[in-house]
Amino acid sequence: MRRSIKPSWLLRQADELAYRGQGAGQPRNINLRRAVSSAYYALFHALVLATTNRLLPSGTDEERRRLARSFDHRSIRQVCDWILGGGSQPKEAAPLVATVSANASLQDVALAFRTLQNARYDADYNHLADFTKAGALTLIDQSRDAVDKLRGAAGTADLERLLALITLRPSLR
Amino acid sequence: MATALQLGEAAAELGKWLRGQRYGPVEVLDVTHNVEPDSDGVPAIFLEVRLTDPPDEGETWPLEYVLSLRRAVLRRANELGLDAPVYVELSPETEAAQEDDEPEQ
Repeated sequence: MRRSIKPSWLLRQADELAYRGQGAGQPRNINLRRAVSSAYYALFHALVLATTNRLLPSGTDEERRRLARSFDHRSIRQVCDWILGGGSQPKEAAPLVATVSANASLQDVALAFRTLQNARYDADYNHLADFTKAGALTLIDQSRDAVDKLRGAAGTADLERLLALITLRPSLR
Repeated sequence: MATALQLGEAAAELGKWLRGQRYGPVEVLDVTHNVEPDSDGVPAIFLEVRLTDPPDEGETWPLEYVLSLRRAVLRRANELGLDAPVYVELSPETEAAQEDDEPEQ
């Protein structure tokens, strides 16, 4: 049986690795790093799944999951940067970006993605980065909040705009 | 795009502005800043923010206050006209030992 990558499973794993609900004391540092990485991937996959669902609403799960492999982390990150007010954006994207930027929930999603992507990089590669239980749990909370906000925005015009920007990012002018 | 020097000045300004601010029961005790490439290789500002310990003996800070802090930093960065990303890294006032904190052999 094929089991897809569910954002909720990644968030649950992150909680377990960070010892959520187990009171005082801190888990192993390497577990905190893996927890942060899982929190990032939960949001990454939530965004990708939202996009493939939008692109292929009548397709099969397998078709959508195959399509999901084609999304690029950096492209999503660039769209998030535009929404947060940074980076030069293509002229044709500007009106969409302005509308999505005015949506507080989707701005939180963009801020969470940028924050978590860099934290994931530190977790996986930076020996000098410091991870605490409180710091890891707040990143997991931010990821879960962003995933919930994506779910809450399902079917809205603003989410369609965000997903269109993510889809077309490589060819936007 | 801001130069490294300008980014350094902006980072110092952000740190100075953020230090001492309160978000509900959460207070910013200290901020150190750094300018270096982020995971995309883009020059970025990193703010290492030390907060009061999570309230009510919680394991982490309430999300609403953390989001308020992160949004406030983003607003301030945009007010300063910063094009570079700003990252806020949070840590508690008191750090408990971790399971692997044993002396190096």
